[in-house]
Amino acid sequence: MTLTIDFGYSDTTASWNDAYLALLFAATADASEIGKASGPLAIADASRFVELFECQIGLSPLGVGTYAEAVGGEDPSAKAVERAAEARARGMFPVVIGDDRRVTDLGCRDPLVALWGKVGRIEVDEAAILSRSNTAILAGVRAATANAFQAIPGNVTILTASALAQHKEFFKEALSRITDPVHLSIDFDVLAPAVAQTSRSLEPGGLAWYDLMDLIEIVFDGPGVAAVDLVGTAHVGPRTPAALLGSQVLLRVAGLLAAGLGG
Amino acid sequence: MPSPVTNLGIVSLPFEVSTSFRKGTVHGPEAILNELDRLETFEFALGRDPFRGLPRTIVKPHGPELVDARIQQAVAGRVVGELIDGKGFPISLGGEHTISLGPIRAARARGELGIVQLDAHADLRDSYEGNPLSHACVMRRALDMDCTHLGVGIRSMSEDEARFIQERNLHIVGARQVIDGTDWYSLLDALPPRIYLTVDVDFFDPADVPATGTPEPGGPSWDQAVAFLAHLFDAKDVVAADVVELMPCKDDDASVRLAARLVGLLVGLKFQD
Repeated sequence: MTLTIDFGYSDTTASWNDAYLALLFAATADASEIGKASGPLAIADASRFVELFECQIGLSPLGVGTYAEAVGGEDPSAKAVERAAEARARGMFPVVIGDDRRVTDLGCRDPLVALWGKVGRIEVDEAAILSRSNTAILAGVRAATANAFQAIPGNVTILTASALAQHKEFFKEALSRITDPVHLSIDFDVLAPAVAQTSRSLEPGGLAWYDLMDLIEIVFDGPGVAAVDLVGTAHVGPRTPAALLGSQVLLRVAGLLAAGLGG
Repeated sequence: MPSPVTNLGIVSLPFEVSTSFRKGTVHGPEAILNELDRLETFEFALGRDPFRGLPRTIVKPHGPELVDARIQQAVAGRVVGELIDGKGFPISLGGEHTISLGPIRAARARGELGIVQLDAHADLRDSYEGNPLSHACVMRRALDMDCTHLGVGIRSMSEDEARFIQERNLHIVGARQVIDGTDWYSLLDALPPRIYLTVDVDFFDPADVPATGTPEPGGPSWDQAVAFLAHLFDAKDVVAADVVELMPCKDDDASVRLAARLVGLLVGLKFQD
């Protein structure tokens, strides 16, 4: 189902055929219950109430034709990732909003991964659980089992949440070693519990809002961005601070694209 | 020379018509007044109890049934004007942000006025959803009254508002600038001596105040607000103030506590002797 995601600007909406930014909400609820049972749809709903946040960087999402779709069916995550790959193949910039990490996991599997082209993967996540060969940076972590941590390949750069907050140059340095476009996956729980305000984010510590905004801006200022996932949104309730926060992440991506970054 | 004040007037203005993302600000005044009764009123930032020995009145000029914005402004403006004339310091409690307009008009009628707005949103739209008296337009209407203005903590605005700010050369201090330092305090120099202070509680980070209509991430902290307000009251003659947009929620007592604590702080900063 097509959604209207226009951040308050009707002239930013575009069709599948002429959009540049494709927002794909892996929706587990009936679309008529928008925001009722689905974090992604709560974020979609909240986007109608955000405005030009980009006071910090002086940018507007205007000029980016935005197409938005609630992708349902039996397996919304799988369908949304497929749809994102289609969008990428058509020259659009896909952003998938998912309930949980499944969106990120699916995006790494063959044959889907072939559709992305060669990408370096950046995962911004509270948990250090990873087994993907093309992940280059794991940022914002603050929880792991010993086994999971040891399973991470030696060539993956791991930045804890506190290191990332205090030493953004480490992240920049790791990013500078990636030559391919990056696939950025942001899990909501990378944010500090007080910031994320969802019942899922329980680990103390975590990123502040501006840490995450800085990180996104650094990524878009890097070697190019192929796609973005925003996952771990299952516990984002309708008309909540977390829903607005999620829509602000999307708006930041749109603003950076409008500035010609990330392409 | 600050205007001499001898008493405190707290004005309850439970008015809500135009809020959009979430509703419930109409319950803000009652929640704050109840919390003030429960509050340990010693204020550590001041080293004293700001309410001790201070004559105060609580005025409730209308109830939640009033839904006409123009009538609300007239009623609120009359009450606040009378309080100012009686050497009082009025603090109005909202309600949606629109409730600021009547008190601002009353203060402006009594002399040149600068407005200091602590807020997440610019509120400078000329109209929102066809309503020029929407809470999203309140500062635009205030500027229509020929006031000067400083917006602090702003982190959400439309492109039209950004253009308006540029055209009118308005001073806006972004939330991140507030968080990062105090070098912007000198912007107060451009304002006249008499100040109306309006605090939309969504100025604060949602981690501190989730209970507001449109909570925006990335807001300043309580301590950052205290530091600025102390400077403001030292530098200027704040003749009236308001605290607006609190939307009390069950399971969140902290937001109400902060709003009540803020009222106590404003009282303490105003009555320093």
